[in-house]
Amino acid sequence: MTHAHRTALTGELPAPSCPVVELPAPTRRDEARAVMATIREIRDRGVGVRDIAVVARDLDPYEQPLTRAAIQYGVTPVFWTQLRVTHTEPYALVAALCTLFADGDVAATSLLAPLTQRWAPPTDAAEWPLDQSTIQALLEALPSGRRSIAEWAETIQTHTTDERFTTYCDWLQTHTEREPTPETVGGVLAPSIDAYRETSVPARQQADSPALMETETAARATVRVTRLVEQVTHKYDEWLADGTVSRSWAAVRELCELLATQRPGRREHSNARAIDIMEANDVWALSVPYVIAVGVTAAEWPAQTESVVPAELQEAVLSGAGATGIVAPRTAWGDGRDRDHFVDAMRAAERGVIVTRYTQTDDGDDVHPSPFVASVDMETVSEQARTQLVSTAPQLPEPIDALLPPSGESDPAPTESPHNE
Amino acid sequence: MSNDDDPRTLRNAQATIRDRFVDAESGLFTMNCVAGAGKSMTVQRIAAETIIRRYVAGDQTPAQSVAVMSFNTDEAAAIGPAVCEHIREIVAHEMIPGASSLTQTDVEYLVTRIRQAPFIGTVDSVLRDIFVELAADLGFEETPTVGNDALLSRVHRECYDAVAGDPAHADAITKLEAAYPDDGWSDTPTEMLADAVQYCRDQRLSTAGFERKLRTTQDAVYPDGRTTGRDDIVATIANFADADVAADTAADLTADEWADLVAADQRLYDAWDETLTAFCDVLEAYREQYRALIREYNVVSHTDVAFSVASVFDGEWPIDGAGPTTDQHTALRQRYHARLASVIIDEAQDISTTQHAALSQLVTPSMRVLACGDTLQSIYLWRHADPSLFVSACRDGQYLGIDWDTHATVTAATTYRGTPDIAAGINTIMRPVFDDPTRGALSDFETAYPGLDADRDPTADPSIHIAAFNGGVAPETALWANPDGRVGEANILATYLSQGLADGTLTDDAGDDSITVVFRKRTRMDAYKDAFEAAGLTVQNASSRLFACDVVTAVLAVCDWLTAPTDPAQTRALLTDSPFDLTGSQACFERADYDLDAICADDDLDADTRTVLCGLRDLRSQLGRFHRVPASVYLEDIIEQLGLRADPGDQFTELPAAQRVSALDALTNTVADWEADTQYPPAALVDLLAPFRAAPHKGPDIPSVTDDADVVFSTVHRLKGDQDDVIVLATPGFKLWDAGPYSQRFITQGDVAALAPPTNVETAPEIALPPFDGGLYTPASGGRDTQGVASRDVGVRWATEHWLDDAVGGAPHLLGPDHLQSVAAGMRGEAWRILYVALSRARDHLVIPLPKTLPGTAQPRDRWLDTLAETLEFVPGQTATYAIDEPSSTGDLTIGVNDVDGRATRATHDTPQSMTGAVPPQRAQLPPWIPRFLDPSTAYPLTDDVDATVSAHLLDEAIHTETEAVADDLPITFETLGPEAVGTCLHEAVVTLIEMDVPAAEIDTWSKPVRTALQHAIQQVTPNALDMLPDTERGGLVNFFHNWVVSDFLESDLWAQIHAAEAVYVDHDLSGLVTTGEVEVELHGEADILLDLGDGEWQVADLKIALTDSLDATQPRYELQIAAYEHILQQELGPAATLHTTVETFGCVRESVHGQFPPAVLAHRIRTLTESPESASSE
Repeated sequence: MTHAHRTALTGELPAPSCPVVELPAPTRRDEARAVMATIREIRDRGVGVRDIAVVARDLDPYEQPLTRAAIQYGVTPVFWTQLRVTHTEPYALVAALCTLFADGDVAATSLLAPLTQRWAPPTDAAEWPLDQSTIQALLEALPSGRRSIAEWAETIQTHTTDERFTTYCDWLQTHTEREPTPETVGGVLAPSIDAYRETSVPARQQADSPALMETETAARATVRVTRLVEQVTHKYDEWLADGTVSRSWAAVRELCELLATQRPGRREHSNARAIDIMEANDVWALSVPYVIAVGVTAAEWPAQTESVVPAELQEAVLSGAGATGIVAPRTAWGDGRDRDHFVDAMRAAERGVIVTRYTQTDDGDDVHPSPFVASVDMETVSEQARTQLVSTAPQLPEPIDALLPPSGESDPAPTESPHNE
Repeated sequence: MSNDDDPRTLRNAQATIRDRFVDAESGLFTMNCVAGAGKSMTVQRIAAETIIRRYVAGDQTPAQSVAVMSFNTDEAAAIGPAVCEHIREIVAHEMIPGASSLTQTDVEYLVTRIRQAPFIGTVDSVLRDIFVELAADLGFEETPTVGNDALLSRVHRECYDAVAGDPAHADAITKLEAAYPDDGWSDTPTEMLADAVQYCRDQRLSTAGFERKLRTTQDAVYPDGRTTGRDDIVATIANFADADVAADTAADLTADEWADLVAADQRLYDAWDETLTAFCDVLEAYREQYRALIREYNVVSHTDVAFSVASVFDGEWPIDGAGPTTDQHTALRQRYHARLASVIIDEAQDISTTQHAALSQLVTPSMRVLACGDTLQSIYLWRHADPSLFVSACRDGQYLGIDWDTHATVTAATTYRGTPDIAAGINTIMRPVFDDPTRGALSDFETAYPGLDADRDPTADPSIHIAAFNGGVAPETALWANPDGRVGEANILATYLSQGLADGTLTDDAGDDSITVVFRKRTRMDAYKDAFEAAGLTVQNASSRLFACDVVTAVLAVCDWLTAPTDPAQTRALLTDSPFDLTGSQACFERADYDLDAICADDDLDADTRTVLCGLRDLRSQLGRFHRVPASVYLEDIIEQLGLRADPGDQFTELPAAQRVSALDALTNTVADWEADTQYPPAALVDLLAPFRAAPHKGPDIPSVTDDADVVFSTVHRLKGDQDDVIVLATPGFKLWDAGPYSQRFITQGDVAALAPPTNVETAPEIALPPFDGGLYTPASGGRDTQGVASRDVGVRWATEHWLDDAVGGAPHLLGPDHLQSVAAGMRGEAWRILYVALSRARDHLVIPLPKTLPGTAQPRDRWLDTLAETLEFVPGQTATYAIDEPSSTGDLTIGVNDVDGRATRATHDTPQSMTGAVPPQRAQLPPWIPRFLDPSTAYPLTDDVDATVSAHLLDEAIHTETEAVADDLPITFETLGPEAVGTCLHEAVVTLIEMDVPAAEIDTWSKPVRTALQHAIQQVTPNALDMLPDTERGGLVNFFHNWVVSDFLESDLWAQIHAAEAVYVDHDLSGLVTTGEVEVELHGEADILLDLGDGEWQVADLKIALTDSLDATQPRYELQIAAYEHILQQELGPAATLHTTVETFGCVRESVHGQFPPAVLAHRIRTLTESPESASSE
C-alpha cells in the first residue's frame, strides 16, 4: 500500500536548530508592518543590519507592502530580486521614443512622453531635464488631435517661448525615420540613454531622499538599459538580416519589451544600511543570526504547482511501479522545492527564526498557516503583543525578545562571508 | 463534559448521515441542518473519512476522487486544512476501521496530497479550473481573469456604448432612455442590460426565451390583454384585489374619467409592448458585444464560467459563437466522471441554477453525493441562489440532474452554538414566523422549521435581553434611532451594552466577550455609531463602503487632479470641492488664481495646508512615474506623500485611525487586483473606477480590522457563516415592503423576469383607483419614501406590497398579479430568513431593542419589530426579568429587560495607537546612504564627497580625482587614446612585465620582454583602436614607456624585491569587511603586486603611471587605497604578519610612498559617514 519512494517527498521537516517564534497578523500589510516594526526594535537593541534577513517564498506580493512598511518604521529595504526594468524611468524613456517614432501621427501626450521620462539633449544639457509642471503646462495648452512630429514642431512654436521645446523638436525631426536602420536606432537610443546618465541620474539624486532609494534604482536601470540598447540594436540588425522583421520602430519597441523581460537585471545593492529582503531560493548559503520568514501561509508556502502529469501517474512514477521505474520523479510533485526552501530559510538562522503570516485575505476570508509550520515547536506572539509592537509606544513581544542576547551581552561577531551574492 | 483532548466525534444526525454515506457505493445523501448544527464540521469529517478509507483500500491518490465544495469562500478556504486536521485526529485515535494501519508518514503524505487536491474549494473555484481547460476552445487567447469587477464593469460600459452608438439601435436606445430615465436611484437601461445578460446566462436563456418571460409578466399584469374598455380595468382590479372593491371603484368614477383611464391604459400597454421589443432588440446586440468584449478584455464573470462549463458539456454549441463540440470535450467530461467518486457540497441552499447545471455535468449515478444545507438560511436570492434545488434533493432525491435510486436524508436540529435559552428564544420568535403563510412560509420552496435543540448546558442567567426604550416616532427614522437629547433605540442599546460590559452581564468569567451589532441595512449605522461613541463604546464598522469613505475619495480626487495638474480649474476642484478641508486658505488660493506654485509661495498658509499643498506639488513633479508604474504603486505614493494613513492634519476623521488605514490598504489592494497586468495612468484609472465612485455600493467594503473595539457593526449578510458571543439586533423596525418589487423597474428572480412599464407614458395619475395608491400606473421618481407612511404600490399595472386580508375563501395574500406577487413573496420570505440568520449567530447573549409602545397599528407581518414584540410577549412595564412559556424548552424562558446595573461604570483602557495610523512616513528621515561595496581605489573620493561621486559609483563609472590634464612635454599625442586609456595601458604593460617573470639579468629598457609586454598591453586595452592608432602616437607611447616608465621601474627597489620574494602575486584579489558600530562595508579590490618576502613579511605595492608632474590631488586617494589593502591583508593573514605597503609612481614623476595611514583609517572614514547627517545627497 505504501512505498518509501512515494512518501519520501512528504516526510516531516527537520527541526530547526534555533528557537522559532510565530508572528501572525490580520492582513499582508499588517504583517509587513509587524516585520518592519520588529526589525526596528531589534536594531534598536543593537542587532546589526547584516544580522537580519527577511525571506519570502515569493517577493512579488510583498515588495510594495514591505517597502511602505519599512519607510514607515525608518528602515531602508533592498529586495534581492531582478529589477523590474519596465517600470523604470530609463526604460520608459526608450519605450516612449520608440512609440513616438513608430506611430507617425501622434497625440501631444505621446509627443512629450520622452520629456516626461526625463529626456535630455546629448549636449548642452545645463537646464535639463524639464520639470513636469513645465511639460504639463504645455501639454494642457496644446490642441488635441494627432499630428506629425514636424507639424507639432510648428504648433509648439506658437504655444511656448521655452527654447528647450524647440531643441527637443529639432532633435526629434533630425532623427525621424519611419524605417530605421540599426544605426539609426543606435543613434537615437544610445545618446538618449547616455544623456539620461549624465543629466537625469544626477538630477534624480538631487531630488532624492538621503537614503537614495530612487537614485539607486535609476542607476541600476541606466546600466541595464544601456546594455539593453546595445542588445536591441544588435538583435535588430540580426533580425533584419534574416528577414524576421522589417524596418520599423514598432519592431524595435517589441524587441525592447522582449529583451527587457528576458534579461535579468543587475542584482547588487549598494546601501550598507539597508535590510536584505530576499526570496527563499537565494537563501541556501546564507548564515545569519536572525531570519524573518514572511508569508508562511497555506496559500503561499508551498505554492500550488500545476503539473501536466496527472496525480495518478505521478504516484505511479514515485512508486516506481512497472515501467515507470526508469522515470525520475519531480520534486514539485510533493511540494519539494518550496519545502526545501523553507528548510533552508530555517537553517540559515543562527539565533532565531521569526515566521510571520497573515490570517485574512483582502476580502476578509480566513488564510490558514503553512503546513510546514504544523510540526514546528514555536511560540506565538499574541494579537495584543503585535498591536503593541506596531504602536507608537512599541514593545518587542516577549517571545521575540527572548531570541535576543541579554542586555549588555554583545552580539556575535559577523561571519566572514555572510552573504551569497 | 468533554475533555479538550478527546477527539471530536459526529453525533446524532451527523453520525447517521456519515454512516449512510460511507456504507454506500453510490447515492444521494442530504443533511438539512439548523444553524449551529456543525454542518461544516460534518462535511469535513466525512471527507476525511472518505479519503482515509479509499487510501486504506489501496487508492494511492484518494484526494483526487473526492470533491468538497462550499458556496462560502471563507468556509471553502477552511476545508483543506480542516480535512487534514480530521485525518490526523482520526488516525491518532484510530477512529475508523483501518486507521490503525496508517503510519505518520502515510498521514503526512495524505495531507500533502489534500493540499494539492483539485476539487476542494468553492463551487466557483472548482468550476473555474474546469473552465480553464475549455477557455481556448471558447475563443479566449489566454486564460481569462474571473470576477474582475472593474474590467467587467468596463466591458458592460463598452457594450452599451457600442450598441448606443450603432445607428441600427439608436431609436431603441432613445426609447429606453426616455422610458427609464436616470433618477439617481432606479435602474437605468445600462444597468438593466448588464443584469439581463447575467440572468440569461444564469438561466441559460436565449434572448427570445428571455423576451417570452418578459411578455409573460406583461400578460400577467394585463390578464385580458390590451385594454378595450372600462370592464377590462374593473376586471383586473377584481382579479388583483377584490370584486367588491372593483365594483366600488367602478362606481366612483365618471364616464369621462373612465374614458381617460381606458385611453391611458391603452397607451401604457402599447408603450410597454414597444419597450419590451426595444429592450430585447438592444439586448440581442448587447449580448453579441458582450461575447466579443469578454474575449477582448479576457475577463469573465463567475456566472459566465458556470454557464460555459454547463453548456460545453451539455453539447449546447455553439456557445458565444465558438466552434462545435468535439470529442475532446466528451473525453474531458468522461475524465471527470472516471475520476470523481464522491461529491460533497456544503451550503447547498446557496447554489445557483447555473452552478447546479454545471455540477450536474460532472456527476453520474455511480457516485456518492452528500449535500448539506439549511434552506432557512437561504438569503442569497438576489445572487440567483436557488434553494429549491436543495429542497428537491432532500424531499425527492432529485439532485444534480439525477433521480437517485439510493437516497437518504436527515435533519440535524441540534445546535452546538447558542445556549439553551437562545435556542428557546429563537424558537419562540421564529417558529410562528416560519409557520405563517404571510411571513416565513411565503417562499416558493417548501420548508419546515424543525426548531433548535441546544446541546450546551443551561445558564443560570438570562441569555435573551430586551433593551426597552420609549420609541414614539416612526421606526427606522433618525429620530427613532438617536433622537436629540432623548433616548432612542441606538442610545438605549449603547447604554445597555456599556453597562452590561461594566457589570458583567455580557461578559464571561474572564471578563471577555465579543459583541457584534447586526443590521439588516446600513441606513442608520452612522446614527448608531454616534450613539455608541457617546456612550463611551468604541465601534468597528465592518460594513462601510470603500469608495464612499472620505479618505479614499480624497486619494481619487488627487488622481483626478493629476490628469491635468497645471490646469487652475482642476486645482480649484481639488482644493475647494474635495474631501480635503482647506477652507481656511481659500483667500490665498484665490489670490494665487489656483496656481499651485504661487499658493505654496504664499506666507499666509497654515502649516497643515502647506504640508498638503507641498505634497501635491511633489506629486506633480513625479508625474512621469505615474505613467510607468502600476496604479496601485502610485496610489501608495499619493498616500505616503500626503501622509493620509496618519492624517496629521485631522482632515479625515470620519473613520477611526485603524479603519482609515484599513480603507487605504483596501484601496491599493483592490486596484492591484483589478488592474492585474494592465497599467493605468491617472486618467485611465479615473475612468476605470468611475462606476464605483458613482455607486459605491457596487464596490467593496472596507475590510474588518482586528482591533479591540468594544463592538463591531456588521450587516447580516456579512456575518453569515460567522458567530459571536453577543449578538445585538439593530434597527428591527424597518419596513419589509420598503424596497419591494413595486419600486423596482427590472426584476430577475428565479423564474420571473420583468421589465416595468415605461415611466414616460401619460397615465392619468390624477384618477384614483382604490385600493391602489398609484392609480393606473404612477411610478415613483427620485427614490423611495423612506420616512413615515410610504406607498406600497405604483398602480394597478405593476407589483404591489398591499395585503389582501379578506379574500374570499383564502388566506391573506399580497395583492396584485400572482406572477409578480411571487417575487414580493420570495423577498419577504427571505427577509424573515435573514432575521433567523441574525438571531442564530449568537452564542451567549442575544440583545433586542424594543419600544415600550409600538408606534401605530401592530404590523407583525411587515416588520421584524412587531413580530419580536409579539412573540416575546413584551409589554410596557416589564422590568428586570419576565418569563414566558416556551414549549421546546424544559421550563419557562426567562427574558431580561434592561437587566443591567445602571450604576456600573466600565474601566476603560487605552488602546495602543498604531504607528501607521498616527505618524506619517518620513522617507526623508531614512538614514543616509552609505556605500555597501567599496573598491579601495575609489574609497577616498567616495568617502570624501559622497554627493559628488555617488552617481558614478552607482553607475559603475570611474571616479576621477585628478583632472585629465597631462604634462606639456610628453611625447604622446593622445589623438586616439585619451589619458585614461594611456594610463591603463602602461599600467597593464608593467604588470605584464612582472608576470613574465624574466630574470633581472635578461632585461633592460629596450629588451624584447619589455617590448612584448607593451604590445600585449596595447592589444588588451585597445583592441578596437589598435588598427587606428597612428604610428606617431604609437611611437610616442613606446618612447614614453621605455624611457619614462621602464627605466625607472627596473632601477626601483620594488623590482629588486620582486626578484627576491618567495612568491609574487600579480593582480591579486583582496576582499574583506570593514565593520563600524552600525554597518559593514564589503571591500573588493585588486592589489597590483603582493610579495611574500618570507618570515611572515609581506609587501603590497600599487603601481601608478603619472602623466603629469602634479600628484597632490591623488596622494590621499592612493594612501587610503593601500591602507585598505593592508586592512584586508591583516584580516586574512592575522596579527603575526608584518605588512609593508607602498604606492610606486612611474612616468612624469618617480615616487615611492610608503603607507602613512593606519589600516583603521577606512573604518574611521566610514564611521564619520554614518555619523554625518548630511553624508549623502541633500534633500
